[in-house]
Amino acid sequence: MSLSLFGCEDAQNPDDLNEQEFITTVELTFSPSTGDPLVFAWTDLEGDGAPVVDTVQLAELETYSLSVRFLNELEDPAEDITVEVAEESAQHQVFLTGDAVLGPATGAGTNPPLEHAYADQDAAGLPIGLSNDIDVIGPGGGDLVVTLRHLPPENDAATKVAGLAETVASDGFAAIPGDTDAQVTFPVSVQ
Amino acid sequence: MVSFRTAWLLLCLLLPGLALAQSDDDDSADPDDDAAQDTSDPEQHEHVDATVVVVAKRAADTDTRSRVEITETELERTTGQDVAEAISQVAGVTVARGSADSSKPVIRGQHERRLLVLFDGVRHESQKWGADHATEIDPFAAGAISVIKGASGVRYGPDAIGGVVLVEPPKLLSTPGVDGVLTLVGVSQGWRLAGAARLDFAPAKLPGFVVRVEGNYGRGSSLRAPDYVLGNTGSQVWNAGATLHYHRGGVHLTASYSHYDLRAGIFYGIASSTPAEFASRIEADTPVGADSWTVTPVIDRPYQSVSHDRVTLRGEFFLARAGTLTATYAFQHNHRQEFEQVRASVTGPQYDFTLRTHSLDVSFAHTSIPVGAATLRGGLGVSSSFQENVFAGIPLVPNHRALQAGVFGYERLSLPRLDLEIGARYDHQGRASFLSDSAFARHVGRGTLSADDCEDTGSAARCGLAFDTGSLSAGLLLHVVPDVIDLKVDLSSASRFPNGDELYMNGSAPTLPVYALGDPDLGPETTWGVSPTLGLRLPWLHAEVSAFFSYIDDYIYFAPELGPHGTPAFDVTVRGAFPRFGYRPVDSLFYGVDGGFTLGPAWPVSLRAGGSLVRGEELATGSPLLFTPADRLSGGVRVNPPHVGPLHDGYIELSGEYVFRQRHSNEAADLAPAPDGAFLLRAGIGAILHLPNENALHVGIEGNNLLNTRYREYTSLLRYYADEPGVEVRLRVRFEFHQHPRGRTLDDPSTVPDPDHHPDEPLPLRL
Repeated sequence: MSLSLFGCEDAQNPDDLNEQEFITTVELTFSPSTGDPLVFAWTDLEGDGAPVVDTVQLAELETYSLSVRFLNELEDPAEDITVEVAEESAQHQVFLTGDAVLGPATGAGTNPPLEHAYADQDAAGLPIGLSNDIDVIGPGGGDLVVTLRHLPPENDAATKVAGLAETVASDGFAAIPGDTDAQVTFPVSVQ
Repeated sequence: MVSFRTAWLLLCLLLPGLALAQSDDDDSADPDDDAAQDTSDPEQHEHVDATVVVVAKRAADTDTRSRVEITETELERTTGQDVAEAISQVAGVTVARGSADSSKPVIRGQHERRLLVLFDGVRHESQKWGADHATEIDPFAAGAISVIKGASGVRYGPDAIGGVVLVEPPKLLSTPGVDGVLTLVGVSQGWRLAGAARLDFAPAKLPGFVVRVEGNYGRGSSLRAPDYVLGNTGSQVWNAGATLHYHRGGVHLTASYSHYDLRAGIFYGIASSTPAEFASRIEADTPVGADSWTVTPVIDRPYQSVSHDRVTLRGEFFLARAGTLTATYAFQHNHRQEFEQVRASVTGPQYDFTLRTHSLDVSFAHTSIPVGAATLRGGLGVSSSFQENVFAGIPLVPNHRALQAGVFGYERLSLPRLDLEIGARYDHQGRASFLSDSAFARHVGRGTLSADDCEDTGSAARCGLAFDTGSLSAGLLLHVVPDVIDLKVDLSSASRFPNGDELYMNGSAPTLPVYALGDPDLGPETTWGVSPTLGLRLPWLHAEVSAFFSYIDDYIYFAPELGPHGTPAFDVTVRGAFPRFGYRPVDSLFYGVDGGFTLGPAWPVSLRAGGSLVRGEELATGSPLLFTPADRLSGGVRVNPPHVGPLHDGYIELSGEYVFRQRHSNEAADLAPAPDGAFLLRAGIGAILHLPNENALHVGIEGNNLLNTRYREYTSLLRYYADEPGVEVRLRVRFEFHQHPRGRTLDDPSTVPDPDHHPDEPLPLRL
């Protein structure tokens, strides 16, 4: 008995990933001035509210260049969403916050072990945050929160403007426009 | 709570006893009254039809529940508003606004999930569980709307927990000729413009045939709250419909088709955010980014695109001496797509819902049977539907197939001073949900499903469920002083089967910063309600007050879940940590009172006042249930000027409504505190210019929130993000024309059954 009299979609064949921008994984690559890069990941393949999170372990007084990647590992091979973020850099910005970091998007904090500076720019000269400089300024730990913000124009006016990181530092994410595409927390440990 | 149910059932038994006791008193009643009530003359169904016409105007009087009819004239004054806004003038009815330019009705504290909307006698089937999914009904296609307050499960079937909204198309032509209506409306909010046309045609050369075609188009820009523009709230809507009717002898056949199409921007302010962000935005005076929002008709992402197609085939057979047999088949295709803010490489919708519903309803209403001094009228029926839900998108709700069947019967004993109605209904639903492997794995991982609860079909996990529910009703209508004071006492029950989201949802909700988790173990919820209503109809005073008390067994409550230590539970997603909301069955209680009066309805100046109060609480804890409407009071003065030359039916009205702050809210469970109270001022002025040949021009200006008050509505999703729209002025012009080759008088007996009359409506009682 064919019960689908009208239309071609079939109730028996669920299709739960249609036209999605799905992020399962946030990957941080810390490249020291010499030596092998260190890679830490936040991964949630099941979407079950229980992600697998690496602890970011860095060496004291080292300087790293940090690149941030966003992946959809439900695809095979994994889809690198970073490419699209880079292409639409005028509408995206990565923010680093949390008590383990001192940088443009944070307040002064109490002896955070990491210091952050943006190392890339979009066409308008605004930071993107896919490439960053991290100085390990002391021992300690805490949380590093990585946020990818989508800042599409509203009524044809750009919402990615200068000073967003500073606004986040003073008033939090609620004070800037846009949607949060990803916001994940890594524990940090500097020995 | 068994004791409440027992008491309810005892009351049900008690009502017939009361009726019998009363019937002794009635023996001495004037026998002419009885003769007047006897409508058992089925020789010519024209007589039946004439009865129906009379009764259609009196349905509110004969229903044992509180029932309010919004006439065509009253509806006209809401031109430019949607159906939910149009019925919000009824005491006890409020509006829940979604993302901005869309709204849903709330009756006695029950939201649309627990209401039934019928268009032309067909249950409107849509994704009504979503807070931002507006009711897809064309307001221009409505001739009259009735609101039945309170459970009405026996007559209308599952979902009618809080009430029923009956939207009826205007009557079809009853004599050969052409009728037409052209409407233009301009609305200051969003500079909306809409045009609508309806043409009715009954060819003289084809007796028995009647045709209707209708359509409308409207487009509006972003709405404005008093202090800022509600960015991206423009919308565009069009509707088209056609009806073909044929009757010969006692057979009436009607086929109709309608298409609804909406494309509406979703307010920029409803961006996905983390709970912390959400909480601090609640406190902000102005939404972030409001400075750059403009009033524009351009619809940007995020937006929704919705269509609803409906095919209705109906046969009515007037059987001499036996009664009326009605069979209705309907097919509805509801398609909803939601387009989120995404990267440019993603082109399609992020949520895609298709709901297909086939329904077949057959009912028989027998002619009245004399029982001593009384008459007995009633009927029985079966209803059935097959529904398929197909979803594609970010994991949210599963696909499903559901087969539903119900059988019902009702009888009404009418005495000169008293009517007694009893009814019973049984419904069954069998449903199979098809969960994707990942969705099923998530439920198994959480322990809400076990691996052997569902079977593997290769492409999905098929999870089967079956539900059975019963409904009962007993209603008493006492004509304390016939035609002046009526007392109604209604005991009605109704059930609702759990929806797909309540059973299986597993993910962050698109419009709220919560992680929602369905419960596959949920069963149906059933309400047992008592509602006394007192009506007064004097030449100088019309009044009605109705109280209600409803116990809901296993009310499915969407509320935050607590962790092991009594603290809120959180789920960590890639977009942050979200509070976990679950669907819990809780026994709950809703009670309250609503009503109003009009002083001097026919005087040159009349006054009216009304109000409503609803309380909803979880029985075990006594804590208030979220989204129960705040108390409100309204009042107004209307000037009814006398006819001046060709100018008729003029009116000037000034009215206001005060909505109190919802003090009975559960702030711990809510995402934001209840908004402050607000006073809203409304006004209207209008008249009808009678033109030659029965043509007429209707003109009116109506306005809402004329003081441009900043306020938020407790029942609306929008309250978490922004203020409600500010001042709105609507200008409407309606031209009606009639062409009847053989002339037409207003007294023509109808040869077409009143389309307002459906077998599931209360039966005629009196001639």
